[in-house]
Amino acid sequence: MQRDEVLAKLRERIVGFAASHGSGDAAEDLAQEVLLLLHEKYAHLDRVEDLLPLSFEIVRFKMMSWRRKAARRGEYTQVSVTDIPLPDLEPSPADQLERREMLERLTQAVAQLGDRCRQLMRLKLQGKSFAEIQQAMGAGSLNTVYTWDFRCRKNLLELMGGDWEAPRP
Amino acid sequence: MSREDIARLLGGYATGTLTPEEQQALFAAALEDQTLFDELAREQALRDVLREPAARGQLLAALEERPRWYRRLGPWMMRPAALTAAAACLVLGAMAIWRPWRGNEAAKPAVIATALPREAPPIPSPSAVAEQKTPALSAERARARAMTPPASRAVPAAKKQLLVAQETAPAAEAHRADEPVAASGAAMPPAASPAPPPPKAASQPIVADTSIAGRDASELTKIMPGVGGAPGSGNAAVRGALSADRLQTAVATAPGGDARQRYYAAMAFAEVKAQAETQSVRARAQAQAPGSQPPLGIKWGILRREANGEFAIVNAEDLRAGDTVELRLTSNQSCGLSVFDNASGKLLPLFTKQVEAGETVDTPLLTPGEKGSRELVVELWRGGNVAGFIVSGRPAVSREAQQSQTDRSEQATYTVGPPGAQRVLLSVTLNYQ
Repeated sequence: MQRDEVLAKLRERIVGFAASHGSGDAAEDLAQEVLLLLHEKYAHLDRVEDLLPLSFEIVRFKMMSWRRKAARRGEYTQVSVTDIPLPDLEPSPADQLERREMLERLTQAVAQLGDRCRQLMRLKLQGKSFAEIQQAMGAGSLNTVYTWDFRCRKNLLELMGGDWEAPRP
Repeated sequence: MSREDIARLLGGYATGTLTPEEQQALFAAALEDQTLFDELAREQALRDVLREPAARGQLLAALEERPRWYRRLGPWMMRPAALTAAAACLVLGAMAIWRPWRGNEAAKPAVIATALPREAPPIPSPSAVAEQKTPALSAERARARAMTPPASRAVPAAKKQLLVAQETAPAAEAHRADEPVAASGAAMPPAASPAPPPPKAASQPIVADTSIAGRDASELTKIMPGVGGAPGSGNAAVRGALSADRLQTAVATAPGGDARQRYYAAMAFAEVKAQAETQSVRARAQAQAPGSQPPLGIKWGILRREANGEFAIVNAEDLRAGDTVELRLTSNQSCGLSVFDNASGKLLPLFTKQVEAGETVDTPLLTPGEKGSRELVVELWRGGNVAGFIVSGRPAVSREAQQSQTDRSEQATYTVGPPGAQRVLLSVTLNYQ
């Protein structure tokens, strides 16, 4: 898949994601900002495995920034796209605070998981692949590990309240 | 790899567990599927956190700790099935505790102050008393007891009282010549009171008043509303006292009825009076009043020894010279009883005895060898005034005490004195043909 083709699909998906998460009319602008950043700052990346995670990170950063601005000003669309600074992907103090809060919630949630999920989560955090996890846990097949992981993720997400991030006001 | 299979790789994105092949498959699918793309985008927050080694270390430390039991139980308990099972166990446990507790409560004796009604002491039935007090009769005399119908011995005390009331019920305006006296009560000790025998069939001439014979208690109540206690009112003692009062009134005021009726009425009255006397001071006071004594009476008959040696009841006019006879006497009150032979114009005592009410006494055998009349004088008295007529040498037969007509159904004769009389005289003439 060529880079332009990947970016086109990315734009479509980002608009859909932003629209479904409350960005509304700014969904197109958000997608444009993400693509602009990918084009200007990450032009050397052309694989989907690199572009997709990066775009997810930019989208999340942009959306968090927009929410903060909207809460602070009470505005959502008065900021021109050209006025939006290019994101600094380094975590800001606010980002660090949110991450600490999320880590605390996550720590409490994983402590409530079952033995299998705890073991599976531990192996994942240790950097094991699914194949290695299969061997470590003695699963019959790789699909079994996939299924276990899918259920454990769902369980952990429920323990987190349905979303990894804390609910916003 | 299908869409569902690829979706199962989502969990590996945040932790970096996916292999390049898995990651490529997931991302490629996410570009084509908006839902998967959204889910993957939401995993980015977790990925950002887990990217930091310190955060990973913290989570690994939390996973290494053994979870506390309540934390492990928490998610399980949130399942609906688990909630239902827990509720069922709770209910069963509560019932298991509650039921034995209730059982213990029920087993405890209730501390409640109760006032149980004091029952009146059992009063032996008059028939039983009579059976106890009646001396054993000889076989010969026992056969002659046919004079007294068996029904009179078998009738219960309550039934007897009703029968007595029946006997006293008919109200006649004037006394018949053969029924000269109106009875009145007196205090008497407990005594047996055989019920009057039921009148026999019409084939035999019955002189006794049968106008009330065969009537039941309800009819009796209509006739004599004052007789008999109100059913179901009070205990036995109260009913006994009421019955005594009403029966006394009935006996004293009933102008009709023959001597037979008054004989049994006075006997029953004495019985009820005695019961009330033991249980009621009021009844005792009334019993001690001079005018409350029941009339004194006697039932008598003539027995003749037949050719087979057995005694049979006969009329005084049916005797023949050479017959062996005796008088059978039954008093309705406890009193003194004396029998004199006046055949020679001089009273010769045959016997004297203190008898109980209902006690049957036979005179010594009389065997006159010639035709003619022979008079026997019978005296009943209360108290110790035995020598009253003996001193006079000739019994002064009370004008009020007259003999009633023989009740042919029983082949016995009743004689009852006036109310309050302390002595009753009776003359029996035996005519030997």
